[in-house]
This record gives sequence, structure tokens and C-alpha cells, in this order.
Amino acid sequence: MTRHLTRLHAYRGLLWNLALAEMKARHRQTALGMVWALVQPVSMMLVMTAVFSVFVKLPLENAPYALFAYIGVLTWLLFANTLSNGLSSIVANMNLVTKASFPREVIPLSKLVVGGFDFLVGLLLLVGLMVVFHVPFSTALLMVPAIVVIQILLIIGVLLFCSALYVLYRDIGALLPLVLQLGMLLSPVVYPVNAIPKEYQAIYMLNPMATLIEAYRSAILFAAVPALPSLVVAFVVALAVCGGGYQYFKSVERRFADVM
Amino acid sequence: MSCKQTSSDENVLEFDLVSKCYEPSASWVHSGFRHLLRGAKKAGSSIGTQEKPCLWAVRDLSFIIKRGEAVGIIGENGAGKSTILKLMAGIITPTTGRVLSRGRLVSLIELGAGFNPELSGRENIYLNGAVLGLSRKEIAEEFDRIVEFSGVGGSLDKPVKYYSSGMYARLGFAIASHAKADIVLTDEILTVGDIAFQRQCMQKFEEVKAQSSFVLVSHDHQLVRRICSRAIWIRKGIIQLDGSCDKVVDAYLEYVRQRRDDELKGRQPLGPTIGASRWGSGEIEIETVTTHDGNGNDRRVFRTGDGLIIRLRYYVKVPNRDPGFCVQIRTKDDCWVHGTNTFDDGIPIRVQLGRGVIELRYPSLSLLAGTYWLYAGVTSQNDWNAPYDLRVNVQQFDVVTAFPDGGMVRLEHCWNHVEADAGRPDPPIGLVAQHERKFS
Repeated sequence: MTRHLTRLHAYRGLLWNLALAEMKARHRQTALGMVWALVQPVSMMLVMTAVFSVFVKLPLENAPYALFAYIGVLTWLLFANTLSNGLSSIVANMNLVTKASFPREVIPLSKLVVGGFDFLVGLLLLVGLMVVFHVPFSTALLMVPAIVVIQILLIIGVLLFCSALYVLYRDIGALLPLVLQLGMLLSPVVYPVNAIPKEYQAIYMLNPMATLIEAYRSAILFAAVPALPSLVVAFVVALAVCGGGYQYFKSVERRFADVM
Repeated sequence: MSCKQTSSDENVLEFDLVSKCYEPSASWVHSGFRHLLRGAKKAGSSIGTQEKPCLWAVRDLSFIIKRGEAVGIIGENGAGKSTILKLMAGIITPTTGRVLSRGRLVSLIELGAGFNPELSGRENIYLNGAVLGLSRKEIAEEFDRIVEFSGVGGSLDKPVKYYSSGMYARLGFAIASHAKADIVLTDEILTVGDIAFQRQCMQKFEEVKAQSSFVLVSHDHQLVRRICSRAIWIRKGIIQLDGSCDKVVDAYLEYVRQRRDDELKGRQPLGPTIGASRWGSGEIEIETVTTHDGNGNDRRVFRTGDGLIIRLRYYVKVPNRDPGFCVQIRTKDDCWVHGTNTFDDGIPIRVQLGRGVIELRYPSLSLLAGTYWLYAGVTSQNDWNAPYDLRVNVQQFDVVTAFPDGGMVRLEHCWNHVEADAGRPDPPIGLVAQHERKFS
């Protein structure tokens, strides 16, 4: 493991370069450029706000729904976009994999960097929205970086596992969009957790994304430090997922060039 | 085979009983194998036939490459050379055995493979450098030299998708060759680009060679001989011979000569060949043209310096006076190497009705490696516009060579070198022959 990490560290330059290359290539020849990073979360937020605070009223405890939904969407999109971009990334970079030697995890991880960049741009807008909606800036916000770390660990684990699996079983490519759609409905992106009946909440909260979105909301919207025990559990789980995913990735990595 | 287990720092690359098999292991047979098939576009293949015998690309390879060594890996197509290169580069991992490399390894294969077409040349230098494991600082230090070498200067900020394939390759080579590698792997990349760039590459090659260990995978034995000090001959995935470049290349050439000779002997000695044609009035016909060595044995493959006898069998149908014969040797791209005829050489020929034979003898063939074609003709009064019979590409022979010379023919030569001495006038021309090297 240490050996892998040392090697990965040696290739961090490649990680940034790949991410940078993708961002540059993506924003080149577009009129709006970086603004596109905001189009998806903002449009989703607007539609959700229309649907769930105008058409159907959701029970919300004194928080603006737009901001409430935006936090959910931002969190979910970091997860979902990174995963769907990263899934086929190794296969898409076949010419690199079959011709040069470097730790392969650099490729999917570069997608996480790209997703993380979009997330940061989204956070900037979030700060703007907080000002607009007069949400106070409290010390609980200091928890946000910790939650981000947990989420990143979780994403790394799932991303590495899925992208490695995809090289061997392309079936996942058909499965993932479905899983992500269902996952979004089963996570508190558009609705609050307390909309879930009490007896189901224990099972519901097994979804780590539910814990994360809840934690973000409590820190940002309600100025409350999220329940620490659940965060610690989430951290341990995320760390385990990350380690497991990385382990799996490294164990099948050697076959990549053969399969392609 | 050198299998010394001294793990010193001087060993930059170690192969320890390395084998590679291209069949998936049982644990992922049902997925991986199917994808192999799909990848190979074998439509309609039944997925039930997964259990196939293992296909060993290379077996039990053991060798050590030391710091500063230049090693050539030679062998025929499909011998496993590319697999070895990929194993060295760490692109594939051995099925059994161990590959160990120390230091930065750069392969000059598939130049520009990591380029992103949307990005500019400048951005791709950084990206490709990172693929090779260089830090941003290292690339920045070499940046100007890379740009200068590649000669893409004016287009540096254009997306590389607008580059010509030559520029693409030049930029790729420029980046890879400036990577300050400890080990450089390469194959026949010198065949890309124009002559000027190839010369530039060759020069850079020598420079890189001085700093790094060097592995050249090639079936161009001339190139191997020119660049490498040691050679490994791979045959059917195993090491046939490992040793000094001259020894191994000679052994390999002898093997190739034998094989090619057997192969050509198995063929019809005289038949319709590619590009063959024939015209003439037919009073005298050339029936067969055969090649023989100095001792009269049938031969189709010669070494530089061998004797060559070309024998023409002819058939006279109509009585005639003053006939004469000609023979030409041409390369496969129809470059005229040598031609002669009996008129110009002043050889009187008397023929009678019926069959006869005439021979042309080259006591020592000065041709270098290649495939050569023979023209043979017969006419009267040196009039080749209206021959009796003129046969183009009537016979073919190969030359293999142990000489490192480049070009088509080996011309006798020696080097004279007199050390410069200030204050003394230049020595007379042709004074000393210090560096004459005799080839057997």
C-alpha cells in the first residue's frame, strides 16, 4: 500500500496535468467557459424549487428551499458526475494505458479533480446564495471541510472500484446511470430526511450520501454542528470504502493492458 | 543466458524467469475473454469455447541490463520482441517471474501517444512530460530545448490536432528524448519523419545513449549493429543467444540465411514473379535463369563477399549470327545496380540450333543486404530495342550481410587519421593507414 501511494505521489504531476487538460479541453471553444460548471446545479435547483416549494409544498423547518435543494444537488452532483465521468475513463484513455507505464488510478482520480473543481465553483455560488437569503455564517461552517474530506474518501473508493470493474465488465456502463438515478431518489437531495417515516429512518441512513447531505445542511443552513458520532461512523466507513476500492483497483490494474 | 543474482545498483533492468501468457486466468474468463473476442471483432464466435491452451508470448527470460549498456533485441516477426518491450516498460506484467527496473524508464514507442488533440503543443509538452514521470520543474528546464529540437516553434500554441503527423512525431520524440531517462526503450522509430529529422534523431540517439542504458528492439540488424554493443536474439519467445552484438547478429543472420534459402528452394525456381514481363521476337529464348554460389551449388541467399554465378539456359530456334547476352541486377524498387553484356565486354558468342548455357560469374559480391532482381536478355548486334528475348524480374536473390556499412554496395575503404599537431604542416595526403579494419 505504501509502495502504491509513493508511486502515486510521484505521479501527482500527471494527475494535475490530466485534470487540467480535461478542463482546458472542455472549456475551450465554448462561449460560456467555466460558467458551465454552474449550469447543471443551478438549473436543477431552479426546477426543484419550482416543483417542491410552489407546486407541491414540502415540510421545511424555516430554511429557504432553494438553498436547501442547492446543497443537496451540489453534494449529489460531485458524487454522480465524478462517477459517471470516471467510470469509462481508463478504457477511454486506452492509448495511454497500453503505451506508457504509470499508476493507472491517476486517470479516474483526475476526473475527481475535475468534479472537485466544479464543486468549488458551486460552493462559491453557495456563499453568494447564503448572502442573498440572509443565512448567517456560523462557526459550524468549520465542519464543512471535514465533511468534504469524508465525501472525497467515499468517492475515491467507489470511483476506483467501479472504474476498475468497468475495464473487466463493461456491463457496469449500462447499470450505472440507473443506479445513480435511483440513488438520487433514495438520498435526501430534494426532500428533507424528516420526510422519511421514523421507523424507516435507521435503514434510510445506511446510505452514506444521506448522512453527508444532512451534515452539510445542518452546518450550512442551520448553524448546527452535525451529530459527531454519525460523522465519525461516516468517516470510518468512507475510509474503509476508499481503502477497499484502492486495494481492488491495484489488484486488477495489472490486467488492464491485457484486456484492452 | 546471464542469470547472475547480483542485485547491485548497476543493474538497471532485470528479468528473472519472466514468462507472459496472453490467456486470461480462470477467475475472469467469462468477462475478460469475451471482451478480448469483442475487441478482436470475431463476430459470431461461440462464448462456450473459453478453455484454450495458454499462448505463451515469451518464456523463462532471464537477463540483466547494466547501467550504460546498449542492448539490441533481435528476432523475426512474432518472436516476442514487442512483448518484451512492453514488459520492460511496465505496460504489461509478467504471468510468472519478475521484472525489475531502476530509475526512470522512457519508451520512444508510439510517439505522442499521450497527446490530447484539443490542447496546444505547449500544453501537450507538459502533459506528455507528466506521462513520462517528469515534474513540472523538470519539464520547464528542458522546455526550450524540446521546442527547438521538435522544430514546431511557430505552431507551439496551436492545438496539436492541426499538426501534421510528422510534427506530431517530432514533438513526441523531442519530449521523450529530453526526459533524462535512465533506461530508454525504442523500436524502429527512425522510420518516421523525413530524412533530415531521421538524421537529427540518430544524433540525439547517440547523445541519449551516452547517458542512459538503451534497449533497441528491431529486426533491422544493421541498426542494432550500429547502435548496440550487446544483442539478445529471441526466437519463439525464448532467448536463443545473448552476447556481443557481432556474435549474436552473425548467428542470427546465418539462421535467417538458412531459413530464407530453404524457403526459396522450396519455391518454383522460375515462375511468374511480381512485375515479371518478357518481350522479344523469339528467335532465341531464354528458358531459365538460376543463381549459384562460387562452387556451383544452387543458392538464393548470399552473403556479401560470396561468389555469385548466374546461369542462363537458352534455346535457339532460328539459325542466326552475332547474338549476345545481357544480365542486369536491380533492387526491388527497380534501381539499377549493375548491368553488363557480352557485346560491350567483347565476348564473341557462337550459337547453334538447340539448347545452350551461358554463365556470368561475380567472384566476390559487393552487394549489401537486400532483395535483388535479375534481368536477362539476348539480342543481336547490341540492339536492345528489338531483342530476341528480354526477361524482366526473371529471378530473385537475397543478400544478407555481416558488414555494418550502410547503402547498397560495400566499397573497399579504410580510414586515415593523423592527430592534429599545432605548428606542423598537414601531413601529405594518403600518408598513413592507421585504422584499416579487416573484415573476414
